[in-house]
Amino acid sequence: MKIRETLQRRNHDVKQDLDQIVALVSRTQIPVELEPYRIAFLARTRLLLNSCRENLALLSTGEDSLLADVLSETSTLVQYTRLLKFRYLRGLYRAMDWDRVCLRTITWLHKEHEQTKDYPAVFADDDVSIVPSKGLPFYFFPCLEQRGLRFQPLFFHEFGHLLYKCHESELDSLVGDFQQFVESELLPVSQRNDQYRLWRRGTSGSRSSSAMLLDSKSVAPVFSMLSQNILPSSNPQTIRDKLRTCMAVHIPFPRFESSC
Amino acid sequence: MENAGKNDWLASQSLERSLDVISAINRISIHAKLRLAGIADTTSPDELNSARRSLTAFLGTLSEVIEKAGGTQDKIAFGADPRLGSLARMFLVLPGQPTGAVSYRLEDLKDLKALLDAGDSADDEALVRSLTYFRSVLEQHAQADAAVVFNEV
Repeated sequence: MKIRETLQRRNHDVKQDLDQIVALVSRTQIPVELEPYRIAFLARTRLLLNSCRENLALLSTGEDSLLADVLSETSTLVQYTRLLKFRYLRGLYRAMDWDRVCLRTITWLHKEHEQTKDYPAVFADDDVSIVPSKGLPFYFFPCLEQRGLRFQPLFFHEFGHLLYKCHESELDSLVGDFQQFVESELLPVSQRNDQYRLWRRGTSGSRSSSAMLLDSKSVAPVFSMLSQNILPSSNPQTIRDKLRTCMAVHIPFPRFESSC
Repeated sequence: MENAGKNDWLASQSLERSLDVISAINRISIHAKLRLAGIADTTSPDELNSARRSLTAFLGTLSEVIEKAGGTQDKIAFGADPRLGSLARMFLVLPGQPTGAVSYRLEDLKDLKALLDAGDSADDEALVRSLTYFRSVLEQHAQADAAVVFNEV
């Protein structure tokens, strides 16, 4: 069957890529601070290699009913391998001694928190950002800024994203409450309920909710004001009043749609 | 390709989550099919249970988000991961209507959860059908994330 041969070939190709990655990573000279990441990276790569071998074993059983599953698993494997090559390998492939400053900062940050203390430190060249995956977070930092202490505090901000991820359920619940509060505050006093409203919903997708009308440009100054004036306060009434002021100043769209 | 993998970390996380769940689905499906074909499965019980737990947990989270979104006027799940929220929305906005290659039916999610809860006593054929359906939903969702993560047009 042709699909079986194609899948076998694809799995052999992926296996070859993964073997190459293992060989490359094993012999690359890296700073000692990057060693925990190399161990975690190789463990992940070997899991993918196992998956590759399992696919080949399943294909060799000759059982046709498994082809759809092996096809899906192969496709998943290809995506994982792409992620390894285009992101996770970048932290190791061009590692050099200069990396030690940033690696030490990240390691220290991780060790300060119970949930991140075992996470390995790694980063690659790019604008300051993070992919806050639990277990294997990946930081980005610009080339020149890596070589000094001046911009190191920016890692604290990125680390905040990782902490959010570690406490996702609690924080999502808080964000949900806040989003609901904003939604209720922005809800028009009256709403149309006729063909014109249906037509508007049609032309603007389904984003009829007033909260959804906010774009990032209009929300940015509100959140800036929130962080400076509102969040330090714990009184709900104060928060409510200040939020109203922020919105009145920064979001100049009608408070209600006129009914006709 | 220099920026690949970091342009949108929400899509990246969503892609990794979908890939993990699809892998769990494949493991359970392969086990059920091998049982139906009378072929011994080399997968360890621990691996299988871990796949079941991971899929059940994901189904629980998705059902929760669908329920949350269902209670709002615009079917938006407040406080939920935006990508998971948009998947949940598909089940509410166009229930049962095919979107692309798959249709989004809430009943199918409930059926799958019940079959997983039944463990080894579940009807393998029904389980395979249910898993195949949910895998196609997730594959379509993951495809959109992969396009963002790998800068595909």
